[in-house]
Amino acid sequence: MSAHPHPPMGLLDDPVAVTGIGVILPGAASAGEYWEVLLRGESRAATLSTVDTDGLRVRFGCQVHTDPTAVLSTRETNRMDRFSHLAMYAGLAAVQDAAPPAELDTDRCGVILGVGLNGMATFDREYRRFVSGQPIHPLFIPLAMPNAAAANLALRLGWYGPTLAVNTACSSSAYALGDAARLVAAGELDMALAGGVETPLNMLMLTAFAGLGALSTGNDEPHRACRPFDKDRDGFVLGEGAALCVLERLSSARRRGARPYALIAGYGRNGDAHHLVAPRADGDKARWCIAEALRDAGLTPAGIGHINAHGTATQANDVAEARAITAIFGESPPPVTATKGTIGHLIGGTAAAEAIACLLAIRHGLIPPTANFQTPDPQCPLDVVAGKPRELPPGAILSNSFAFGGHNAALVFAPAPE
Amino acid sequence: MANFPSLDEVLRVLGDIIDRPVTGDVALADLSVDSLDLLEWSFTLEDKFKLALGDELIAAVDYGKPLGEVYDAMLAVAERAQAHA
Repeated sequence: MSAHPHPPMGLLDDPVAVTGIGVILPGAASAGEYWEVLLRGESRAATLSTVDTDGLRVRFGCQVHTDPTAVLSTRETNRMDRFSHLAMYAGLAAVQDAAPPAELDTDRCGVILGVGLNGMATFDREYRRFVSGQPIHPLFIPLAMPNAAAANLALRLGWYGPTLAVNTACSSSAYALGDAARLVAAGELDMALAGGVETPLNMLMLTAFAGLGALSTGNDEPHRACRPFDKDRDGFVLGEGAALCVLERLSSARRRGARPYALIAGYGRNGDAHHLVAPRADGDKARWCIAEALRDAGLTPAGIGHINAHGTATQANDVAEARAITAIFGESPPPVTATKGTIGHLIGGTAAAEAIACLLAIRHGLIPPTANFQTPDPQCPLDVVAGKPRELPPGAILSNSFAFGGHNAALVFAPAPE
Repeated sequence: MANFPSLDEVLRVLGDIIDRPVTGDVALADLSVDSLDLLEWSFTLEDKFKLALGDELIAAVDYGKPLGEVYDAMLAVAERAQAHA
């Protein structure tokens, strides 16, 4: 692999800081509630109440029960699919948290949003109308197009910089955060709103992901179904939600007295070029991706105090990820947690939800436990935090994302200097 | 005319879409209604009342006529559609 053209983000004189966060996730209508959910370490999975699951092989998931339209006008609500509703809720909360200055140059502010699918609720509803001979909604395209959520946020905020929808499946929002950080670091943007969203909980997606053999089939005990790195794991649980961050240069945050959650100090990305839905068994390209994120952060492996794993709880992914981690960190890697055990797998939104878990871990000095981890798997020789939170060791946090399509990404979050 | 909505019902559909009360005296241009609102309005009327809107309605909207006159244009379209049914 050739040398990277970007100067290492972790060595910049003026690094990229996260100054605002916003979420709407299973069991959490705010970042504070999300932290409480994570610390409890209990899965939010339950039998789905808003989806007709009769006859489906998988009948549960991690749902958002908060009404996201409370922050929208009726006109906005009608013009948006549910994935835009969730993105708007979390995005506006992140901006409110960052409290940008009134004199913000909105030509230099952008929205970069990871989305793995699109407006699935609209697709589901309108396709049923279409095949039953009814007219389809004239706003089908602006409701459902995958870039709609990013565009709706830019429209509401009046931000005129680049507005991007990033799709690299389950790592979409890691790419969104990493690329946004690069745009801020390069001086192309003064402020970026970046993260991800997904709303995959409908009959079609439950059937499709189950057809791949990717989902747990633990219908009888949904709350015990997702078991990252556990020997008895049998797949992931679909979840929905949105998580977004406001990024700006540290100097900008300091000038206006904002308190950063942390720095985005490193970003690595590459491709497996191996298989559409299976990781390389040896984890070698994932290993390279982690190594690149460390290089970008200017860190050796010893500089990492904790890893937020991709941890999908599929047999193949967890083993490949464990191999990548041990190849970098040796036989005693830093303590690992896997957020998907608690809130499920949000596909395009999942990496951003995990990034915010890292930011909250740095702020509170704790590692949340991995839900449902009970029986260690000899093929995954990791120090998995389970049962209760653990004190966060010194150092930075690595967050891994390895997606269908072989889209690998790794982010490094470091405490902001005082 | 079976299922044909009253003026009040038509205005209520539009009001729900743009999230503000609408009266028959006001023209669409005065309500800041945009092209997506019009698309949604005509779709909702068609879906709810089986009322397909025609060129007369579009012309009435284009010329900024009060909504009462737009309604009259809709009625004329509906009457001709029924006559041809």
